[in-house]
Amino acid sequence: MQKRLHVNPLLRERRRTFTLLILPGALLYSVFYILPILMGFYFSLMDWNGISKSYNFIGLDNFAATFSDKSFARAMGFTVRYTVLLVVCTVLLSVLLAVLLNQDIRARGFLRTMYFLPAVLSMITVSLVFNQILYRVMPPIGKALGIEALSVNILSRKNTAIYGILFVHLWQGVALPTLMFLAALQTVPSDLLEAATLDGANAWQRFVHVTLVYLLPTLSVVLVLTVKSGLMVFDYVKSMTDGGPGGATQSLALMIYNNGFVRNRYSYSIAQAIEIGLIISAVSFIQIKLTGRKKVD
Amino acid sequence: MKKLLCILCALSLLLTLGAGALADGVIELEYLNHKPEASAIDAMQAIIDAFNASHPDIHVTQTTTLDFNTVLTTRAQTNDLPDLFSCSTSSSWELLYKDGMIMNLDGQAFLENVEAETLSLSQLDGETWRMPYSLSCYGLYVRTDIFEKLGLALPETWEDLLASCETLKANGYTPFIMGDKDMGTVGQRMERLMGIINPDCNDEFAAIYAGELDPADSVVLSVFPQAFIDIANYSAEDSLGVDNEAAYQNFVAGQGALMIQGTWALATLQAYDPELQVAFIPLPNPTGDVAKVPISIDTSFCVSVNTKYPEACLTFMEYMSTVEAAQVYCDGEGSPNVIKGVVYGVKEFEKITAAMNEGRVFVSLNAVWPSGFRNALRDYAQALIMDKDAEPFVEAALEVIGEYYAK
Repeated sequence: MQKRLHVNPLLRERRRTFTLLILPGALLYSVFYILPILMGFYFSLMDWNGISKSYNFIGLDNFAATFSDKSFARAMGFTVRYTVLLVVCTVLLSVLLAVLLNQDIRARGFLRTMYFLPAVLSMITVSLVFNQILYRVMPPIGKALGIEALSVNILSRKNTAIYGILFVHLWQGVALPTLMFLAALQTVPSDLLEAATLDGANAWQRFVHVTLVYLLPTLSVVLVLTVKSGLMVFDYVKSMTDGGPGGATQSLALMIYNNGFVRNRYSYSIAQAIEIGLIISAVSFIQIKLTGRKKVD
Repeated sequence: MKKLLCILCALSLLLTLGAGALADGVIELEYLNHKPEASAIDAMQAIIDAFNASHPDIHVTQTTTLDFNTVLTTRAQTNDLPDLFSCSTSSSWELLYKDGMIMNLDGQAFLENVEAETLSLSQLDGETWRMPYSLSCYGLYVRTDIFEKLGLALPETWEDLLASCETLKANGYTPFIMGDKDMGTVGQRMERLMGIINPDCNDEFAAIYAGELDPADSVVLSVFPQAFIDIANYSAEDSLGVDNEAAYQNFVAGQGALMIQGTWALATLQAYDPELQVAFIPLPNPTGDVAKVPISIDTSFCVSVNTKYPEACLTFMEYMSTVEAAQVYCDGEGSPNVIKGVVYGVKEFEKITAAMNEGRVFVSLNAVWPSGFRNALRDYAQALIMDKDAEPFVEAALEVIGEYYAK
């Protein structure tokens, strides 16, 4: 005969309370996340154009079609390239800015506010403002300086349009990581830095061997956020180039949107979204595993 | 004391709700406008204000959006169509009617106010699912002041057009001012030019899909790419970085003398410069044949079948069909109106109106192409402007034909 486990009534009561407390959240999550995912999977097996009420079951055809779709490969190539550039530039710039803003300089508070200001602006507004700057302001400057690449709107060339979008994304996107690194810099013990100085370490050596170690947990978070931001870039591309010229800046997110709402291939777009979602999940999982190993205890 | 306060609060809340219910005798209707241009929105708002003032029991509210297609599609998916909405010609919206989401208007008395020819043009299999209101034509805007200054005549053939471009270029002008950054504009220009080359382009593509026509023998696929490249060659170096609004500004500023656009553009151009000297003429045919004018129903009104107030919606439609309302729309928005009795006399459109009166018109291909086809091809049209290479475009066009005509 199996012995009945004795559970503390207080513990049982607490478990019941916690269950009741998480129930609303779990229900909301199910309704707004799980259910749409299940519905999305259902529609991805159809040939729905997004308008008609009638559609047919076509199995996994939409998933298979993605692998032979040239625009999918092109959008994937652009997105990966964009993400790599974004991650590298964001990390380097935000660490540099954070270190500079951490110095004992005049008007430090004002400068910190100024550098954070872009983060509170709307993405679309920023993109539209930079659209005008890149079209109306930059080409005359480029011509005056004799820089050929800047003599025309860089968004009009397939080889340079990516940098126009990236520049605007960075202008706005480095603000938050800078703030996070700035906060992390406050955790670096000053006695360690002093000890390193006494041991003869120069500024670079102090940064690499002491400061950087304390920035690693923040770096892990910044990497996850920036990779996600790069892989899912939509707003900047939509408002600055709409994927052009000639599809050169079509990101994965924009491709899904266009297939769903512009080209009336709704089911196909959902199948693509599911495939890309799986890829991003895998990338994020690996990234968290890798960066999670290198933490300061 | 607390109890008393609570009772008083509850009573005041009930009274407020009661007052709201009394005021609720007014029927609220939502109208979704498909046009993003300020001229169209303002004209429509003026009509709605007048309607609301003359119909105290009905209140119409205008909703505007920059992305009408997405908004209407999403609302159709969730069975949440607005009571009333406007739309232009697209096979996508015909699907809504086929699926029973749009009210059948056959037999409504107010349709007698619409020109019969246009009414039949707007029907689907003989059934009326929308009230056509204004037409749009597509053609070539010419800065007549610049042309006169250079002693140029208005181009009637493709050769004339290219010769004019050469003269303009030699005199320091950018011949064509184009907003090539705008995907919608590029797709529309591609579609209209293909129609000018062959108004039966849809049949041609269907025959290619069916294997009845060798793509090498396709008039459209052999003539269109080079014509599009010709235009790109005479456009600004960075036209792919210029959006529609900037293109309008550059045209008005006199940076160039030619712009390929539709009738709707005039209101915006004149808003920038009311004294602008411009003529709107048929875009010459690159094949050398007679240039026909692409026309389409630019604005038409529909009623959702799910509206709670079909009678009120029809009252609004009836009001819209009056000469007074249509004249306001015509004067404000600027496109030719199809309500009988509306006076339309835009001197800038004299040439294109003459061509239309001669019967040199055809219905824009977007009305007959498969839903989504134009948008699927427009990326490649933009790449054609960028790379000026016809071969990849033709290859892509055949792929898209294969995909969309299969449906």
